[in-house]
Amino acid sequence: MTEALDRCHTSYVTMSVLIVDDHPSFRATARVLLESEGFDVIGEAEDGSTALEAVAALHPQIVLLDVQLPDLDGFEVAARLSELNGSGPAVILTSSRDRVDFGSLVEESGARGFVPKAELSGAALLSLLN
Amino acid sequence: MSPPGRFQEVAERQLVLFREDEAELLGEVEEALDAYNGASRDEAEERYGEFVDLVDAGREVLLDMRDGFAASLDEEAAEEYRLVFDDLVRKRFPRFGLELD
Repeated sequence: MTEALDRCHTSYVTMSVLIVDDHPSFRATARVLLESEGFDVIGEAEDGSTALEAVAALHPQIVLLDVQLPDLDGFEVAARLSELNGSGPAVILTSSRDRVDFGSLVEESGARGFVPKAELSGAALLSLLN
Repeated sequence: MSPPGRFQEVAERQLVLFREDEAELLGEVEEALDAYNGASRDEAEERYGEFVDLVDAGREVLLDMRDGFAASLDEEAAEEYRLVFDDLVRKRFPRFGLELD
């Protein structure tokens, strides 16, 4: 059990994250939550265009991506990132709405998964990556 | 109907961070309360004022934390989150929760 937890923690430590949300307060909260669980938050972006630039510059392993953004929506950003094939990050979409509200859009976007903002945690992200 | 436990972990973690980040302030609050409890009649009002000022400072940090995150949610989710956050503050930091609503 301890070994399993150690492995889990190790995998947190090695994962870099870009947080994309137009609310600075959400980005700040998500940053401290994920960093407290060992993730390496290497950048933040406030809209879809900036997110695409940040992915190209920073090469995060994970992008935590809000669905609702001021320019491109999260699904569009996820779709563009999925075109990078194997070299792209794992995209986790998030929203204050539940996944069922978006029907098949999450799967169709190419995102790895979806975490409601209400359930945001490092463990929730990790469970979608395994 | 929301599933139980929504926002619970987020709010719990926020309060863990509050405890860590504001450890100095939390210590000062307790010291100020001790000073008030031990104050003479002449000093009591001033000591109480110092205690209240520190409690207000802590409450302000909590309100910023709560309302900042709530601003990133839609209206219904924000209300749900505020209720969870306020309830936890009342349990974990009762001195700061009295007027949080």
